[in-house]
Amino acid sequence: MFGRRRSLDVKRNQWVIVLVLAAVALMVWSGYVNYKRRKQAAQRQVQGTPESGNNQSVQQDLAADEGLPDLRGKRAPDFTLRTVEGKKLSLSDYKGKAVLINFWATWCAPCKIEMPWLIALRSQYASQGFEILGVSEDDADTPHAKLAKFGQEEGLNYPLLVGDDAISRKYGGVEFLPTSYFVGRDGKIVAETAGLVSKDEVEASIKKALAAGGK
Amino acid sequence: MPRLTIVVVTAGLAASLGAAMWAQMKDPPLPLPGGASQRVDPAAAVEFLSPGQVTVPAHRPAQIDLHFRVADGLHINSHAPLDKSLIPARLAVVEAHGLNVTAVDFPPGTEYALQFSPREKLSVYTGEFVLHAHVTAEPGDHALEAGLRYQACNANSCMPPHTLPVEITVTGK
Repeated sequence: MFGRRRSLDVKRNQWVIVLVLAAVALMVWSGYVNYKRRKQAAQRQVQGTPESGNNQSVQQDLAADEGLPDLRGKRAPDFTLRTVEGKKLSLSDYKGKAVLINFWATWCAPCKIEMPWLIALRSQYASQGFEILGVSEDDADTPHAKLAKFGQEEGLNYPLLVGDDAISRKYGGVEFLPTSYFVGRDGKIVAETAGLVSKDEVEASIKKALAAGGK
Repeated sequence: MPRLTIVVVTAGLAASLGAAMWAQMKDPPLPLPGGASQRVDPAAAVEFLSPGQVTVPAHRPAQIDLHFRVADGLHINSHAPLDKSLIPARLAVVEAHGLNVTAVDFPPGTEYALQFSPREKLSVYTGEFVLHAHVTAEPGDHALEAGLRYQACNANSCMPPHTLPVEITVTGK
């Protein structure tokens, strides 16, 4: 009788020891992996120059840190907006095409820097079924003529849309500019960026969008 | 029974520790490109530091220095941006009886270039900057109410313009 009870006690003790060891092992393992990830991130931060084009992961993390919700893999929310010329335009009008939805504003210096890149990339990939929709995040009372003039001065070769709160909400609030969503031919978002990224990264995302969903 | 409790508590502790560590590991706070601050609210980009109250000689021109600070990793356009499409820093003052703000002097901006376009210069304020408000006050306490309108950016992205309220009690003596 006592022998059996003693045997049960020993078993319980063993379980306690095993669980404590497992908890310690889990903590050590988590700490090590965490440390490793932070070290790699710090290295990417140092190495990630604009020219190298290898700062994609940092930019994705930037997107996350800047409050951009991860919409990748999800269907791009449809919207209907007016162009600065007053024409109605919907995302669904571009079914089967790869689309870059680029949120910008006239007062956004980084947005202006990427505009020549977007113009060139639009020219390069339009024949493959690529389009850019520039959505203005300027104040609602900004005259459309001012936006149109800005587009002309910058030589933009893609539609400029007058944004509103509804589209901003659909795309997670758009608190930082520029913010871009790359929509594949299948209508799903394949990449997103918050803030200015390298031209190489923009082009890589465009290629990804063109490849998504087939021709 | 106490041993069973120890087992349950240990198992619960292990599970919660594991979950907490996993959550931390999954979403580590990374340093941002260009030393940008994280999750900055446009309203928190600039802070009004001082003064809260100031005494000036009554009926005589005086100067009040308004101290502001731009959050680390951010900049705002100066009062004279080099690009006309950018939004300049402006101070709008509410008219008040017995207190006349005749002019506000802004400091010159510092030249700044974004990393992707080093040749294109911007004129910005970073860190602490001071505006000089020229006032004339009648005797007594007056509320100087103003709003600093600014537009802030970090190294590679911009936030919408914002107006920061500024309130000072000006005493004319």
